[in-house]
Amino acid sequence: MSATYITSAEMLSPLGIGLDHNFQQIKAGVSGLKEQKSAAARTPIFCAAIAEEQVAEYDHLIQPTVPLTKLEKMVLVTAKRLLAQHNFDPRDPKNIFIFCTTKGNIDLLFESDTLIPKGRILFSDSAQVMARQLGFTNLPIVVSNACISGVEGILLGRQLIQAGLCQQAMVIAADLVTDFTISGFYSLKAYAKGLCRPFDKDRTGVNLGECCAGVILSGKPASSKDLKIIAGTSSNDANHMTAPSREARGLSQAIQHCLSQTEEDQLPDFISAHGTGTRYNDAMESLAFQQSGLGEIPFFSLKGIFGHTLGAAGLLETVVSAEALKQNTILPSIGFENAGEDVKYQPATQLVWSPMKSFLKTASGFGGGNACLMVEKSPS
Amino acid sequence: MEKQQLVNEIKNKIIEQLNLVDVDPASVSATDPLFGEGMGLDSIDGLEIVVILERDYNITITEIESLTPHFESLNTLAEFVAAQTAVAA
Amino acid sequence: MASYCIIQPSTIRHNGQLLFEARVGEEQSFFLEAYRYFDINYPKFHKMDRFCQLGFLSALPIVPEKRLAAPSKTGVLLASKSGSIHTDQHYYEKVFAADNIFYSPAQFTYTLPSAILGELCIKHNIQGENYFLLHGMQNLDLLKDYAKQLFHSQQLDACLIGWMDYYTTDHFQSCYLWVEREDLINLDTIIININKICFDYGKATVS
Repeated sequence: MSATYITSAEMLSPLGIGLDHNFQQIKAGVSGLKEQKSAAARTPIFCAAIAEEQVAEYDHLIQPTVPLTKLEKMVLVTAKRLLAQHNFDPRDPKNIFIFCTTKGNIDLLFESDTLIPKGRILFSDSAQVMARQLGFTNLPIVVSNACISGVEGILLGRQLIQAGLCQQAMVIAADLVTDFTISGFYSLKAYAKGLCRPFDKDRTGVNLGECCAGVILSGKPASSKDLKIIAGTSSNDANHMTAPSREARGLSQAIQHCLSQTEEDQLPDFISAHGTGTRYNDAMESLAFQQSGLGEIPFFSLKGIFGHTLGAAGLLETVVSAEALKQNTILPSIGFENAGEDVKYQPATQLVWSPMKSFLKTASGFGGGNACLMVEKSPS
Repeated sequence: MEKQQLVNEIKNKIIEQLNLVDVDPASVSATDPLFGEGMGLDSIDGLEIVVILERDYNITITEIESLTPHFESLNTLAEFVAAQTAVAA
Repeated sequence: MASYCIIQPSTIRHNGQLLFEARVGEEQSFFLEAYRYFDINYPKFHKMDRFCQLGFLSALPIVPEKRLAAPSKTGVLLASKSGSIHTDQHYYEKVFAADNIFYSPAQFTYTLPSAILGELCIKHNIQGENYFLLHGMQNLDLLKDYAKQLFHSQQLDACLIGWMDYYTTDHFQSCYLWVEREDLINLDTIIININKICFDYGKATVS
């Protein structure tokens, strides 16, 4: 299978707008997690939420012709930045729009006084409005597979390009922090007491976050510096609806399958892990890395900065990790202090510069899904 | 409340909360394992039982792991509820 | 051998033959009656939301128990327009509108439209590629094209493909198709037929 290139990448988060800006903030050690109250939690909790005022500023950048939700504004402003970087014509019938989300405009359920038609709670209707605003002529596709949606959106785009069904794909992922999702993680006893601490021995669960991240994928590079996706696959534990496989079966299978697609079973220089901060996820992941012969490879979770952004997480973390690869940087896993017995390896704790070639991105989610992809520099 | 009465009460609440349509309450004994074999529950069902404990018996659960020994059977669960509600009273 | 199942309010059809029809006036209990018709012991069925029950029943007649394809080379690709909207509203009404702070973790799980992937993978031991897509194209063409590509790139040897929507007790539909590698040569024809039955194919407008 030939390579698919990431010809542009963008994001917005509580740290601000733009990949460059976000990456500087990450290097400076800034976190988007703040303590706040939620009607769905009995005590204050930590979330990484994007302020309403920040989103309101986007209107003049987007210039929408119809009323838009917060999520849709986040997506459109990210899309506008992607389009500004790169010669991509949404009106070209060979180009498609893929949107990845776990819960989309779920906040509309709570709104009684809004100009937005209730139908936009349907992901396909919302995606269609966004696609029209951007000028796409093709009907958009939404990927919603819980916490692996973002990685799967990239894999879907890659396969559709490889199959010749499209030439380029704009893939954007976004999710919100809402009382709806907080209530779910709370009821599953999976919400962290305090800040989340991925891979730490004292981790107690997740902090939720909201963000939007996007890429443009193409069968041809736009510049010699473009990174390429060289492998990727998804799998299912076929084991339990909410708990990951104790034997890490599904993730190990996905990683091994992914590595086997590379030339000479190439090993990545670092792993951008899922690392949610729940007991079972993080233990399962470290076991999967060990079983796949990646025990010595540095890894980190970005959840200590952005929280768990659900369906957006995989794409957000791919975009940030791609920038890290370009800058030959391994990022520290914020929130980690001490290794416990159930997590075999220590994640990266400091910013490290070293010449690198590739990284592996992994994700696992409710419903037993796992997905991973491998990103590599083009030979210079 | 008599222990047998509490066992039956909890049993009926579990059957209702978990929508165990094909389970005949009379066929479940107080000593049957709740998880795996027996009533055949899994960990998400365990969390639904936590909802029953918190909502109907006003027991606050902070550490899920500490519940494991009490979740063996209806008997152990009833003993836990009896002990917790006695403390609260 | 390719095999398909179509469920509409009150009927289940397998490869074009009527398999099950609910008794008149009992649409409400269609899902429970259909479950009993299949005569299986799967208590988890009763815990699922309607959307998952619809998917579960649609796969039952067509996924073979004994298969040549390895579980890791068996996949499931589903698409929908409704997604979990019915369960989202139910969860919202039971929890937030009712000011009930005791959320049900099981009910929350079913507000993920992709929960059905987990249920199908557990029931049929499917461990390969799994996708849940939502779009407004009223046909199975995208799923067919994607499945072909995954077969072609050696990611799959067998695959469950399906469309499903659940809005209300009398507004739901599914069409599921089981495909193995040997069926690929006929797949276009099979899909055209199913599109005709389920989606008035050809009349759907793409705007």
